[in-house]
Parts: sequence; C-alpha cells; structure tokens
Amino acid sequence: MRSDVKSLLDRLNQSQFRYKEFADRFSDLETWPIFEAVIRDSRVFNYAGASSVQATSTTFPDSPPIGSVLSRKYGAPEAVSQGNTSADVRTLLARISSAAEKGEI
Amino acid sequence: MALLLIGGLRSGVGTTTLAANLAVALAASGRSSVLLNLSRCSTLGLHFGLSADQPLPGFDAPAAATGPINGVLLLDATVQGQTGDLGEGLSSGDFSFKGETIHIVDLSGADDGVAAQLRPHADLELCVLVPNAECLYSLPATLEVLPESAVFLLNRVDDTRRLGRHAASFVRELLGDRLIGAIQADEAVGEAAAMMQPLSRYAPSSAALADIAALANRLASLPMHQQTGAHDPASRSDAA
Repeated sequence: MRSDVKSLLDRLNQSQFRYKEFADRFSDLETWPIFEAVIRDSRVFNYAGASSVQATSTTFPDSPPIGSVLSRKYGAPEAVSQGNTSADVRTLLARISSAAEKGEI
Repeated sequence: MALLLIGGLRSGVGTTTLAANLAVALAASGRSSVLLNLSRCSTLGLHFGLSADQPLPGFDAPAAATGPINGVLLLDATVQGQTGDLGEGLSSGDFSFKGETIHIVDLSGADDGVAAQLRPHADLELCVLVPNAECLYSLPATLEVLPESAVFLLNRVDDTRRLGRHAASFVRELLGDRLIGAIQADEAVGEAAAMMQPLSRYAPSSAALADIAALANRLASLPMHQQTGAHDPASRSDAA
C-alpha cells in the first residue's frame, strides 16, 4: 500500500478501501446482443413511438420509433433516418459518441 | 398516495423483499403502512419474523384481531383477490384505500386477474426488475401490458459487475423518467431475510436500506393518480 494511501486511511480511521466504480458513459456501453434484441422488438418500437411522438412526428415523420428514443434523449436526429443502419445499436452508439465529442450533445 | 401495487417484471427479482422493507421504511418515516398479501405461497412473513405456518390476519378480519409488526399491518387478501371481491369492493365503495395510510400490495405470485382488478384503483404501480439479460428479454412484453403510468425500479444494482452495469445503463436510457429508483445489490438484504428480520433492524446502515428509504420518501411525496373518485371513503374495518 502506498504510504499516502495508508496515511489517508489512518486519518479516516479505516483499514481498507471501498472501491467505487463509476457508471460507464452511455457511449462506452458494449453492445450486448440482448440490447439490440430489445431495441428491435416491435413492442418497444410502439412504446418508444407513443412516448416520444412529439419528438419525431413533425421533423422525421418516417423515422423508426426506436430511433426516437435515443434521438429524444440526445437530440441526434441524423441517427434515425429510415432505410439506413440506424437501428443497429453499434452504429447508433458510435454516432452518439461522435456527436458528444463534437460537443453537439 | 394510498394504494401502491408492487410486482416483478419476472419472478425472483426481489419483489416481496422490497415490498416488505419498503413498508417498514414507510412506517419508520411516520406513515401508516399496510402490506397486503395476495399469494398463498408468499414469503412476506419471513421479513417480519413470522414462521411459514403462521397465517397472516385475513383482510376481512376484525380490526381488533390485527396489529402492526415493525410498524406494518400485514393482511392476507388472497381469497378476496381470487374471488374478485377486492376489486368489486373497491368499485362499489364497500371499502377504500384512500387516505393517508399507504397500502402496499405485493403482486408476487398473484394471478394477472388480481392485478387487473386492482389496477384501476391504484395510485401507482411499480414494476421491479434487475439488470440482467432475462429481465431485458422480458421487458418488451411488460411494456406492452403495463399501463403507461406504471413506473419501474431497478433492484440489485451492482456497478462492480460489467454486465450489470451496462444493463442498468441500458434500462435507464430506455425507460427514462419511468425508472424512479435503484436499489444497490447488498448481501445484507439476504442476510436480513435469513435472520427473519426487516433490513432496518438487521442492518440499519446498509446501502440497500438507504436506497429503500430514499424510495419510500419519494413515493410518500408523490401526488395521487387514482382513477376512481366517485366512491365515498370507507375504512377496511367497515367492510369487515
């Protein structure tokens, strides 16, 4: 144990650490297949569409509803255009990450 | 709030344990708390030091025959739920869950029909899930069935586990404001159950209890959303 750490623990009257893991940034999430399965589920499509109709109906009337979930969350409308690979979670997360790096979200 | 339904997205997510400890937390915060059981094989009594063969007082039992344990009044409404009397009584105004007392209904093990008859009278429905693949897989079907006003709670959140951390983040993004809280995974929860005690008694400084207490405070402060309102309030004992 480093001396400064030991000193700190002594001052805190503790004998060991309690490690805290910080939550991953959403853009750092691994794309587990179950995530994509959920997002692609038509019932989640319906749920997302109903909960975010205002976010999508005027600007992107043809957008798939699941795109609206994340576009509503992150304001990334380019991620949800119909007919491309936007429903692919990996692509979507990459775009969100890119937008974050550009300071757009 | 007067009537809170707590169900699990699937079995084994800790619904009954949460319902029990939430009821105790509400009672500890000064709220009158009633916990209703709707299942013949419920484990609610475990968290209150009752043996498995010790029946809970019936919902129609005289008030004098019942008494709180750890501040919570436990009642068994299994029969009334199965016969439909619970929903009918609420609809007819024979009894009401309105008022300052918070009635928590543990839907674990109850038929879907029981939840359906209570749903119109509930102020809030809480669906418990854990951050694992099984719950994620079941989530679309649940979103389709539950009313839009239902909210979710993540139980057994463990940020030290990679999948659990990612699944929790995914659920947070997907559900947004409908996810009203999270309870940390805490071995004290299981240990308290093994001690046949509520968490607040066995491990008052546990991390999970702090989360449950925060949830209790949040629920107690929520406005009522009860859809019915035409019936005059009547106490449960009036119906008994």
